[in-house]
Amino acid sequence: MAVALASDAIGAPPPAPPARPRALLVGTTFACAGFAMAFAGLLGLYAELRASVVRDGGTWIPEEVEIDLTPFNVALAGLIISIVILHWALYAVGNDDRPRAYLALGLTALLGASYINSIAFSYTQMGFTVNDPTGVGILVYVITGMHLAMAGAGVIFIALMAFRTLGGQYSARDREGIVAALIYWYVTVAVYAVIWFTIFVTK
Amino acid sequence: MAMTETRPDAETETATPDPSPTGGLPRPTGGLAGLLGTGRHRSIGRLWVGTSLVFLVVSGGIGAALGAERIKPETYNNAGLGKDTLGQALSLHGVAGVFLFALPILIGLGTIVVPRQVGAHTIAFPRAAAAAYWAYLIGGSIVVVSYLINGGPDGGSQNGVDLFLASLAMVVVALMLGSICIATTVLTFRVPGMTLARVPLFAWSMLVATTIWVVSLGLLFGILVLLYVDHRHRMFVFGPNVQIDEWLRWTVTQPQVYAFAIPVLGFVGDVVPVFGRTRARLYGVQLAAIGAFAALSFGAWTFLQFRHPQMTQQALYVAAGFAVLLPLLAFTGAVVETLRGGRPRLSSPLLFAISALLMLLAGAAAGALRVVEPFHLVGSTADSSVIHYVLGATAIAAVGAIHYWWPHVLTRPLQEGLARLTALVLLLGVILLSLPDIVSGLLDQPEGSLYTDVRDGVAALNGASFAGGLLVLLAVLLFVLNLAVSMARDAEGDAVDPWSGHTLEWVTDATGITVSSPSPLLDRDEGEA
Repeated sequence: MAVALASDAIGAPPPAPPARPRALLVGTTFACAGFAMAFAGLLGLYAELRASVVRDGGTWIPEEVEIDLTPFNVALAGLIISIVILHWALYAVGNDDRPRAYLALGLTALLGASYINSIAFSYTQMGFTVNDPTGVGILVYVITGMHLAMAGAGVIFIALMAFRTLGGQYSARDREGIVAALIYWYVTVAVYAVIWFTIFVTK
Repeated sequence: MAMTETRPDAETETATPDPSPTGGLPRPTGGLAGLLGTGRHRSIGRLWVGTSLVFLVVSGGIGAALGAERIKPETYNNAGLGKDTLGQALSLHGVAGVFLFALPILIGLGTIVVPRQVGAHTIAFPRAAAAAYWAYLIGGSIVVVSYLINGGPDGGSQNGVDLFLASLAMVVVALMLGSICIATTVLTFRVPGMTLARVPLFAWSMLVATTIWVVSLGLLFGILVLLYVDHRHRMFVFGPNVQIDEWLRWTVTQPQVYAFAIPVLGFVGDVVPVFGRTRARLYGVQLAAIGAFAALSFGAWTFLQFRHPQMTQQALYVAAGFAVLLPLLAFTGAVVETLRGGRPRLSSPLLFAISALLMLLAGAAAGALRVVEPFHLVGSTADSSVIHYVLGATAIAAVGAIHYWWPHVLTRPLQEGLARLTALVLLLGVILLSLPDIVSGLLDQPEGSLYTDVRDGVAALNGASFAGGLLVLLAVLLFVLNLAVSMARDAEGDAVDPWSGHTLEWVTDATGITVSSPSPLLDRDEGEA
């Protein structure tokens, strides 16, 4: 029969930290930089065209278009809340509190999906068309559509990280994937905040 | 545990690479299935390099045809290629030269060499790297096909134009993905002890270059999506087919065009000390110069220059045109200092390196001349002169890199005599291709448009430029011949380090090598001596 010595339990050094090259984190950051530049260019073009139309005395947003701010405000609030919840997920994973981690990751994905749903619904209400000679309709659909795609990819990313957490890949010792998802989601929300202000608030 | 999974800031200073030849990846199967499913960075990199050389022939062939047309500038738009196809030919020449050749070959070389330079046995996200290549191959092929069905910028077929925009967007995404894999490798897969200040210059240049590429290509992707939606709905709010080129123009004019030559500096910086048989001097200056050159080559802020022609006369644009010379001169100074302190042997990689650096300097000087407003060079053939100088430097460096890193790229050495001849012909070709265009630009020859008011000497200059283009094609043929001769020979054993290199890509097993300087192998050899 094996005899456990006190030194076995007390004197043994803690296990080495896991190897973490942080590749996912760095790769995600680079990808986010690329996405951010795509939106920066398109929003810059939007502002430039709007300024030139207004300067020439024209109307930028067609009169038949009605932009009700409420759904966009709610969408922004939902996204900001989703960041807080994703931080909660990160905290829960850091404490190996798996049930709450799953709950938080699931809630974040749900809020992301609800954002996509609300913007898609707004498309049917606003009255923008691509047949606008100023280009405002095309720009709005391209910018918000690309952002919907980005948010959709973010939801998939978060779901994937949730499954990996479920599989035991992420825990208190290694939260890299969750942090990567958080960075991606931060950029997604930040881009939406700029879209919200540039397109929907200042019109 | 694989070395590549060790944190770069770990306390140990000793490199301990994964001894398995596949770097922890499953052993590849052979044949087509092995090729299609490979995640090995060398195989993926070779595919990038090989495919980009094919697209170089496409771009070069069309460039030669355009050059032949231009010998008689008064009939430029009406002969040979025909008025309808001239714009498409010019566009395909540029698109294939930049997005299907220059960037991909650099990404290919980076995929092959960079992981080994930082001491890793694999690239970050190997499956993503493979997916990037296949997306590039498919997207690039469709780009060429879209021109063949009368699409592309200036095309007559709307579906062809739509296809061009979609396929180019696919290529752009592939290039971004490939870039992200390389940048992540440099940042996260370095062996212990290899701080960023000790990273080999090629790896460093690939890191800063891919960073610039990712953000620039991100913007280009957004523009392509916008144009696609606009053209798909036949609205043409952002311009008809003939204006698509204007939206892409910023990618091939200064300062953005310099971004495609950032790795040239890294290649030169790695080759010079090896063939100078000395340590690299002023290493910090070289790192800083490459970083500054990269920062100054970021040109996304000029993407609306066609809507604001006066932008090229603004102080910021002019200052950027001149400022880019400063890091190049600083880098050249460090290279000269390195050569001065060593005992140079004029092997082919050094010839390629010096040629590439000279052409890049000439391109930057031509660019500085171009932004001097009284010369009125913007919109003239001086534009193509700068592009040809810079992309010529990239081509010279890329071919030189294949010669230098042949154990990684080819497995068999290239003929040294033929390699030297290739370097000289390529250098002469790029000079002859580019220099006359600056002069003809001063004589008011416009860039790629209707031209009837021909001044004396322009036809001769165009003839000289055409001859330069032919010399470049001849150099490519010499290179292909050299490759064929090399491949026909049996492999010559394990020639791991034919040049007595200084950096980690020249060892198969870095176990026990301490990285305490940018030249760990030199440190090891001197320690043993």
